[in-house]
Amino acid sequence: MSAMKVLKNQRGILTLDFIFAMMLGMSFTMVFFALTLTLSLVEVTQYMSFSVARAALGAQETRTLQVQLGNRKYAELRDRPIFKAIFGRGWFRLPANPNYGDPTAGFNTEYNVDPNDDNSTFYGARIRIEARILDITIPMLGSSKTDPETGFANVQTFLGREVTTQECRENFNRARWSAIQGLHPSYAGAQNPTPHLITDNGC
Amino acid sequence: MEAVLLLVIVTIVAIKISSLAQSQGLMRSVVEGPWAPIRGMIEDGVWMKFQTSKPLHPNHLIRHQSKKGDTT
Repeated sequence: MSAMKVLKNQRGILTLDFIFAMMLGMSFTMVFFALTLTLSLVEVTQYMSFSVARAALGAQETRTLQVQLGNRKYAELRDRPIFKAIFGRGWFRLPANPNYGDPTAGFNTEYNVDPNDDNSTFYGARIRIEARILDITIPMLGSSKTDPETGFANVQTFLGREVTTQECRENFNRARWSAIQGLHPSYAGAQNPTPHLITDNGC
Repeated sequence: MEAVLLLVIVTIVAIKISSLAQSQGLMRSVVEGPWAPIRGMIEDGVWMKFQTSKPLHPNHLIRHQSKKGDTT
């Protein structure tokens, strides 16, 4: 082909236009795919947090045992092949264990619940998910993330929790026993041997 | 020869759109813009930015229930 013919050939004129349009289209497809996948995975994590909160809700000997049961449920769910396949790709990151808040106040303080109120409204399990898939940088359009908190969310379930045997015994029965003893010196019983607290019907 | 002119125009428009998208934070607004209220909904069940959504968590609602049960 002669040099003149090459210059007059217009068949490639739309290639650049096509590449640019293609890049724009692909970029937005990627972003919306990332957003929708994140929302779907948040739902999955919500299910996990509910299961964990439910496992940690039931009465146990101690609060530590309640939390251990929740952690076992979390590990069991995470080890399932379907969840491993989803969370093992590096697009999302989950913590090693859920957060149960303060042992005595749960998340009540964070939600400004009156500390004098006997209230277990904000007790439960929290899983802090990190959607790393939302951190996208496209050369001609820039970065999708400038705020470090973008992509993070606390997926949480507040179901409350049952009182543990230890709390019932020490914080209620023993306190009541001490109060009864304090009513009259004769109620203190023999000092040698020291009377022991026996819990009947409860805890 | 107008092919060269079109090529130049397309390139200029592409570069202009690209620089505008970067300076205006197009990608950022697509992701970060909706993320704050989405996070509020994920955490506290309300379409608000996640820090301001805490006082509106539905668990704060005072619920009333009948202790008498259904009556005819």
